[in-house]
Order: sequence, then C-alpha cells, then structure tokens
Amino acid sequence: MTLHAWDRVRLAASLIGLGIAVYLAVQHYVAAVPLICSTSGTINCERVLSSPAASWAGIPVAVWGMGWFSVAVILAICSLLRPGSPEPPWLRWVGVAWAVSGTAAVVWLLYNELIVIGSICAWCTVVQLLIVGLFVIQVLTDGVRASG
Amino acid sequence: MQKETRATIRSRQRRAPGRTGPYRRTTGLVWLLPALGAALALVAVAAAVHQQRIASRPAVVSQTPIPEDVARNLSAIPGATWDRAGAGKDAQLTLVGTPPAGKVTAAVLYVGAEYCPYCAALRWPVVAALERFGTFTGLALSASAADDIFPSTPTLTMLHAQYQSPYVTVQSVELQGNTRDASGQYPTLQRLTSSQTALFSHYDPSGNIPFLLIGSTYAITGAPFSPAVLQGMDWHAIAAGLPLGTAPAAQTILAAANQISAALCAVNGGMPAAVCQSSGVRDAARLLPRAGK
Repeated sequence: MTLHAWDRVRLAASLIGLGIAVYLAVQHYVAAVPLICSTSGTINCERVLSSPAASWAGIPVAVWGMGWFSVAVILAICSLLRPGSPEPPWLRWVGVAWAVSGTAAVVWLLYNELIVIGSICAWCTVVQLLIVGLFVIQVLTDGVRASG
Repeated sequence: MQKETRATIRSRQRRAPGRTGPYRRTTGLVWLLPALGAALALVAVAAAVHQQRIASRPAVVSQTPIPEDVARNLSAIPGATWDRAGAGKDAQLTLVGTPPAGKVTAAVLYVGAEYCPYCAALRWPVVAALERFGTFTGLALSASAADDIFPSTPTLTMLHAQYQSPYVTVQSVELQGNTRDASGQYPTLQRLTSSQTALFSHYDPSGNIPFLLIGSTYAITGAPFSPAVLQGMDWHAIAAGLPLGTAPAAQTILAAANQISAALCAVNGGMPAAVCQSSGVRDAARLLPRAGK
C-alpha cells in the first residue's frame, strides 16, 4: 500500500471521526436529537456521556473530539497534497504530536469508562479505534514521510 | 546482468512516486507503539482488578440503623461551624415558583433512588439542613449501587424515617433499591402518590433524580456536588467531619445544607429565627434566585 493510499485512509478515518463527534456534540446540546445507543448493561452511552469525565474544562469531550478530528482532516489533506516528496519536518512532527495527544486522550477516556464509570460508550469506542488507527498509521509511515 | 545493490534499491524507492511498503521503513518513533500497547494493557489490568474488587464488595442494604455517633454528629453541628461553612460559590437551587407570604409550614418533597450516587450525595446536606428545623427518627445507612458510577457512595436513607418539625413537613420517596434483583433491575421500594406525581411531573418534567422541591418555590435537580467528594470515606468519617466543618467533604455538605436551609427559611417566613438569622443562612440567602433576576 502506498503512502498516498495510507493518507487517504487517514482522511477517511478523520472524516468518519469528525462525523461521530459532531453527532455526539449536537446530541449533547439538542435534547430532541436521540442518542442511538444501549442505555442499560455494560454498553451505556448515556451513562458515559452524562458522567463528569465526559467534559473537560466544562466543554463536552465530543466538542474536543470535533476539534481534534478537524485538525486531523487538515493534516491528512496537507499530506495528500504532497505525494512523492518528503514531508516538511513541521508537518511530520505536528502529525505525530497530534496523534500522540489523541491517543493519550483515548487512554484517559478508556480508564474513565472501564474503572470510574463502569460502562462503555459504543460511539466513543468507534472514535477511540479511529484515533488509535490514525496513530498507528502516523508512526508506521513516519520513515517514508521523512525520506520521501 | 547488472546486480542491484542495496543502495540502488533504496535510490529507486526514493524516486518512486507511489512509495510502497511504508511500514518497512520506520523511524525511531516505533517505540511509541509498544508504549501505547503498555498503556492500554495497564488500563485493562486496572479494570480487571477493579471489577474483582467490586464483585467481592458486600451488598449494602438500607436497613442498617444509623449509628449513634453519626446521628449525634449530624444533629449537633455548632452554629459557628454552620456560619464558617457559608454557602459556597455556586447557587444550587432554582426558582420554580413564588415564595408564599407570611409564616407557613414549608413542604419538602424529595424523590430519589438508593442506587443513584447523585441522590446519595444530595441526602447528606438535605438531612443535615432538616436536622436544624426538626428531628429525624428512623434514618438508616445506605450506599449507592456498587456497580454504578461512583460505586457505593455512602449515604443515609429516609426510606423508613419519620420527621417531626413545627416548621417543615417532609415527603421522601426512594423509588428503587441499590442492589439488582434476579432480573438485573433495581427493585421498586416506594411509589409516588398521585399528588407527588403531579408535583414531580410539573417541576421536573424530564423525570431526573434526585429531585428536591421546597415549598413549590425552590428546586434542586441533580446533586449539589459530585459524589466523588465522598469517595473513599465511610459514614462515620463523613459525619465525624461535620461538627468541625474543616474537611473538604464536610465543607461541601455544610455549604449545600446552608443553601437548602436558606430556601426553607425563604418559604416558611423565616422560622426558626435562630437558623434563618444565622450568618451562614443569610449568606446562602443571597445566592437564592429571586423572581425577575
């Protein structure tokens, strides 16, 4: 698989993540939008998303997610616009730093879901898998990005 | 036939526009992958240990009578401690009606459930405040569900309690228990009467618990503070901190209780004066929302 193809995967994953984050953010602020998810048992989006861990600095994590995936989309587009040439170091390092920050947030959210809250949010899990996937792609393709 | 050396292969790969096999050429960042794996494994192990602890925790029943030290500490909080606690920073009550004129008995309706950790947090300031206006008998120890968020938050239950006061009447409804039955549901403990249902659905149309209605004028929906404040403490430790009021949990409970007291004073005409004229309650009264504000 070429780097170009991996960057298209990055873009697609970032757009999917952005879509989910937008849905969860809208659902948070608009009571009329239903939360399509189990509300009992281990998978309980409502319990997770209404917990104190679901907001940082008073802002819902879904909104933070919107910001994170928006930047991820921009980074993927920047990479796609430079096929066949080494990426400038700033783009590589911003990409890595962004992926690391997202992955650190995933670990923190997982800790909260599994230990503090005791429930898992299905939507959050999809988003977390996307972020971890983007992190893995970013790390594994870093050598090719450096050499062009 | 010319043999390809490693250098020529590398050179050809550099020139190729559709560079193949990105995963074959990695940089020093690869260590991030095992680091991520280790972090996820750590979370998984912590979750497994946590689940094991929860499973071995005995179920809490709500029939344990309140011990003497807890009862004494709740009912004998010095006035100076109440005043020092003040009212906190944030207003906890919302204005839902017009305060009655003159001296009337304030009617309090509490609706909650024993499994609910936010109800567990709210009961402490509710009981502490009501103890200033009258006397509880039959309070019992309880805790929120062990398998919910903020597991086993220690609390008091008013399930079988009686309250005597010349200034306030209390109706308390605990809808469900704190341990699941064979069907996985929390058992029903009490049901709302028709008049309580009318109040609950009028003032809390979304049906959220906990719900506290004071004189059809002020209401609290949800906990006035996070149950995390009470995590890691037991009933004795929480109650023991109240007379001094210096521990963070005690400060939080007393500040919320002062706000509840101020709302009670606002709807019953300021009785008794010893409570309603205290500086802690007067501070709290300033935080109460007023009509037109």
